[in-house]
Amino acid sequence: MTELHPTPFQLERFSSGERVEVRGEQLAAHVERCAECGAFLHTLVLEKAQFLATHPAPTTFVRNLQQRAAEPTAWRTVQSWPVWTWQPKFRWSASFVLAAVVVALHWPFPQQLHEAEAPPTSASDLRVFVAKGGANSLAVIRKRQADQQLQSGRISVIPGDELRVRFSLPARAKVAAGILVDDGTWVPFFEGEFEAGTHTPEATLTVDSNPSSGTVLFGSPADVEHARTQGNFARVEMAELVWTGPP
Amino acid sequence: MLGTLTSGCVMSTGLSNVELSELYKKYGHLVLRRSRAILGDQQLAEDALQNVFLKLLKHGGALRTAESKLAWVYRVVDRCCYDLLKTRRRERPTSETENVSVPEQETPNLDPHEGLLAQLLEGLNPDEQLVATLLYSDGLTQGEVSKRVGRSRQTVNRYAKIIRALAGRILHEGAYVK
Repeated sequence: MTELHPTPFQLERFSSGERVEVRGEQLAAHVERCAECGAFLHTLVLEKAQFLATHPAPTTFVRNLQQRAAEPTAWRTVQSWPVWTWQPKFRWSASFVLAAVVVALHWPFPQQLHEAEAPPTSASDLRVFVAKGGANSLAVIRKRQADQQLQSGRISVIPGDELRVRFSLPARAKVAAGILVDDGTWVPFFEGEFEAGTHTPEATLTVDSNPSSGTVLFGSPADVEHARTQGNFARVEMAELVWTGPP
Repeated sequence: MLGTLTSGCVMSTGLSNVELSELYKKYGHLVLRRSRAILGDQQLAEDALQNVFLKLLKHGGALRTAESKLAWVYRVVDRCCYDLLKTRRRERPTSETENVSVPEQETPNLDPHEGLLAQLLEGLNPDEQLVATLLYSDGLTQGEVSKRVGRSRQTVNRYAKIIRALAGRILHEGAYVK
């Protein structure tokens, strides 16, 4: 863009309905006669449409956020500490106090340190991770003919699509995944113990021609079981499968 | 509907579900676009999208009175992205993820330079990160950045030199190694 064009940020503001003035001129007037800026705005419109089509509906998104916010996280614990502790003039002294406390706690009891470093495998540890990560650690690989895409949130499916699950773990844990079809059918994906890191199990599900939508559930085996039988989804991660094939 | 402000306290309440839904519909794609530009990674950008709206849910009350809502949201996006970059940098040496076979085409390569800003930001301190984003992502002038971040023009200019030098190193050496 030349110097006379508005910046991308100004165009983004304009596209979201804000009044923007550039060098004393309303941006709308510039856009009307500038093909380049018009094309950029058109791209934003298309991106918005694509975003809304490929991501969870606003109500679903907000509901998932509420669930995530309701779970206790390490981040919130830090936020609840007294603010003065982290102001610059207290930062050093607070660090020394913290270091002293850590040393005092671990010096006479080295086995506790060892225990603290042991990889968490319990369902509660996994819950904390799921709560921290929300929908972050789960994604679905959708293979449609030669096209393979990694998607999360809302995934459209048609007959013949092959689905695999990809997830990340902060430490070794036992996890399970499956699809809860809207008619109540449960289609298990896999269950097993995995090391920390990102995994893509070989288990593949192929979508048949029977029109159906559902939700991929991922979490500890107990939480997944709880979610599918009791309808409590607060402790599992989810990805929505939406049927877009023929009715 | 305005959130209540406690007397003498700068913390405001979060946003309601309805407000958040509206913001998601209006700005969701822009949040994702900016996150992708900063992080250079589609999956991380999706993480940032979640984190941004989680922060708005809890602490977004001040957005109601912001002069430019998008500018306000972008500051939250920037902070979330810097945090994710910091986490990624911290986890990289011990991460096992690099040894895992990556499914083909898992991240659409939308722009060959998308990863550059992420690499650049990883090598900068928080003040420099903000200046880099405003200069090279938002396209602001140094004078505008100076006003926005409340630093002198000379300071912004000094940061810009540091940023340019680092960008040059990244472009010549292929990747930044701290």
